[in-house]
Amino acid sequence: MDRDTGGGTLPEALLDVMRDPSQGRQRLPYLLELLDEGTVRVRLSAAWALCLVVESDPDLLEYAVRRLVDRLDPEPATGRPDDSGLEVRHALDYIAMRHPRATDEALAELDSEREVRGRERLYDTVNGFKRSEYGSQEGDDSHSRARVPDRQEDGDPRQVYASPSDVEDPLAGAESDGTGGDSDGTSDGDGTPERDDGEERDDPGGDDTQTGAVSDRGVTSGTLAVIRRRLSAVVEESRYDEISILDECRRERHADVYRAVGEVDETEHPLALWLFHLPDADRASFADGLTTCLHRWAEISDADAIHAVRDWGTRPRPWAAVETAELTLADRDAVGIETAVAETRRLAAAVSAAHQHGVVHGGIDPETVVYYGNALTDTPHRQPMLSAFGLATLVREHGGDGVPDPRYAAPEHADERFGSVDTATDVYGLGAVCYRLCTGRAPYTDDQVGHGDHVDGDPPVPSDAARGVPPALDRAVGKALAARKLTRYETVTALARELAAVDEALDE
Amino acid sequence: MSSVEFGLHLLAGNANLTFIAFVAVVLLTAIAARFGFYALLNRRATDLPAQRVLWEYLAAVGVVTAVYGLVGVLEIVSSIRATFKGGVMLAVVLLLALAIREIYYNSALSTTATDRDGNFVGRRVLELAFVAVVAAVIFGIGLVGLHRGLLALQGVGALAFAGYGFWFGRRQTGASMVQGTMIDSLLRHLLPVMAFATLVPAVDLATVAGLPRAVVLHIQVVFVIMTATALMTATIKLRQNLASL
Repeated sequence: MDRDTGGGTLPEALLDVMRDPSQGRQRLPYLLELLDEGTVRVRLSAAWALCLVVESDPDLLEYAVRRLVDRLDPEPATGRPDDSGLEVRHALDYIAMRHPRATDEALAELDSEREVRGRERLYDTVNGFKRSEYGSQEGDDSHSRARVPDRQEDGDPRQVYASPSDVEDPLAGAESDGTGGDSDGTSDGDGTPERDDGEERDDPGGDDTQTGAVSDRGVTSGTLAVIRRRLSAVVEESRYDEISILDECRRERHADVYRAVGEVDETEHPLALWLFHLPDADRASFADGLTTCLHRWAEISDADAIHAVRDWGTRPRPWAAVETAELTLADRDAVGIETAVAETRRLAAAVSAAHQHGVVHGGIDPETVVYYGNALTDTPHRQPMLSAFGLATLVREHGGDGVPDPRYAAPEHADERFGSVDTATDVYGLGAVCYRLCTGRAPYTDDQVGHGDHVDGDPPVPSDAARGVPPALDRAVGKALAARKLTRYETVTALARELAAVDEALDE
Repeated sequence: MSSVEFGLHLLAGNANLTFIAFVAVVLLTAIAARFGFYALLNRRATDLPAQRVLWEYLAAVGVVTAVYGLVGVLEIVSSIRATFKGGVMLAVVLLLALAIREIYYNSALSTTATDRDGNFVGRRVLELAFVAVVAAVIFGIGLVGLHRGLLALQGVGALAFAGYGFWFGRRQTGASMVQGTMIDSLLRHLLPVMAFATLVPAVDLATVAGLPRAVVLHIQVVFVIMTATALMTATIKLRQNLASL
């Protein structure tokens, strides 16, 4: 059947509901019928009428959400156009953004299949509605604990930071983020609302209460308000009393990351809120695996040089609150031999501690070596930390590729003849990171990996690409980068021991 | 041809020695079979040609050692007299030496492929000579009994094989490119196995020197137990490696 692309007269009953949504309770079944059968114009009007009714009477939210989820096709029927059910999805998105907590609770009441279907739809919402400004309107956020900078609420003694620089003050002396971030302003598919750059930036003195205020990072408070609404359900699940979102998200390897401040017992903690990217299929399994993964990561978070994960959850979509650390080794050039050895030793100690707890990282590469704030230019004494324990393995198990970076990946990542990913894989990763620290480049190029040079030839050594590398360090890196596990360091401790000897020799 | 009788047959007419020897050979058989089993699993788990020969040698070590143990059991529970079993242990020593050499010559390790190819003919000749020694000992003793000359060949052969293996092992463990690696660890576990296994046939040199046979058998039992013990710890390394594959 050809889908009507418009036109049609709106039924009088529908117009009545739109005129007076408070009388819409009895009309809900009728509105839902229109969603199934009407023309585009009628369906769209019915969807908005439904939203108006829910706005008017929030008690109807659960019923509306249930019926809308029922209309989400798990697999659209053959022959139906791609925009089939578009109005249903819009209505569900609107309700979810206006009432995230209540929507989450309504979804939780559904059977598992329908709950998953509904949540998948809402996960997509982040992308699908990135241009939406729903959140810039006054809405039901009375229960929301997510807050926005630049918005001091009357009577609220709690401080909400107005700018990234303010974040550092109460944490002076702590290892806080000192950069103010480096939001690249991109939101290509990352679920971040795109900024209405021109007008709002040019008119800072306009409507600065909600949509018009522009932070010193160029992010409108309206944009952040949208983010806040989207994240409020996450905040409800977290252990934080409040979370203030400071910035738009950055799309990173495993997650969209929001710089934020979390408050617990009136103490504020800088943190990064990760909203994990989801696989195309088997998301429930991914969420289970992620929970296990984060739990194990948290168990070792107290060790030195391990990027700490503070909290996590799976609703409304998998998320984690981790220490703020915005720079990675991937942003860094060669650091000099002594620093390279010292930092690799520190990372090796962290990996060794993880291995003692039975935790394998499985994906060490420069993007998993993180630094606090703007450490790279300010001082050479900031120390690296290892992040994302176990995530690479989980992502690969769910069809992800390119993790870890193939130029740094041990052969067993790509070829099972070399065995499974285990502690020896972390040895390889540390060797690759050490090579990177010494030389500023990867041990192999993409072409070399493509040609299989990383499994057939002799391992590369730092002296191939850097000067002043002692032979002992060449040997250590060469052994760590051995393609075959039999000829690789048996343990990270063995690697650390030889690096310590190199370090001592360099000190003499 | 006389028929085989089953029942307790004392070694050197000594009940205590027989009891301890029985425990030793049963222990050795079980542990060697397990060692060979894990070597085969490692062989199956890896398709890398560079490692295949190593696992095959180690599997052979397990099998031949188990054969030695079984023969020892048969000597106690039947009328079979396997005087040649010292030659079987000599074969074990040779296989261990070749396994250690294979570790050394593995192309991923301390020598280049060029070195391997350059010495290939010489190595094959040496291998044939070693195999000839083993065959001479086994068949010679099987045919003519514990002849002093054959026992001497057995003892000297064991020491020569062990020396050959230790030479490669020492070079390997001394190489800085190997220290701390899994192969280094495996090698360090195989060297004691070879040491104790060597002493089992080598002790027969004492027989040649005139020491009573019963005393030599006592000493051999001790070294059989030590061989089994060392083999057990080496098996742990095989299991560890298998777990990572």
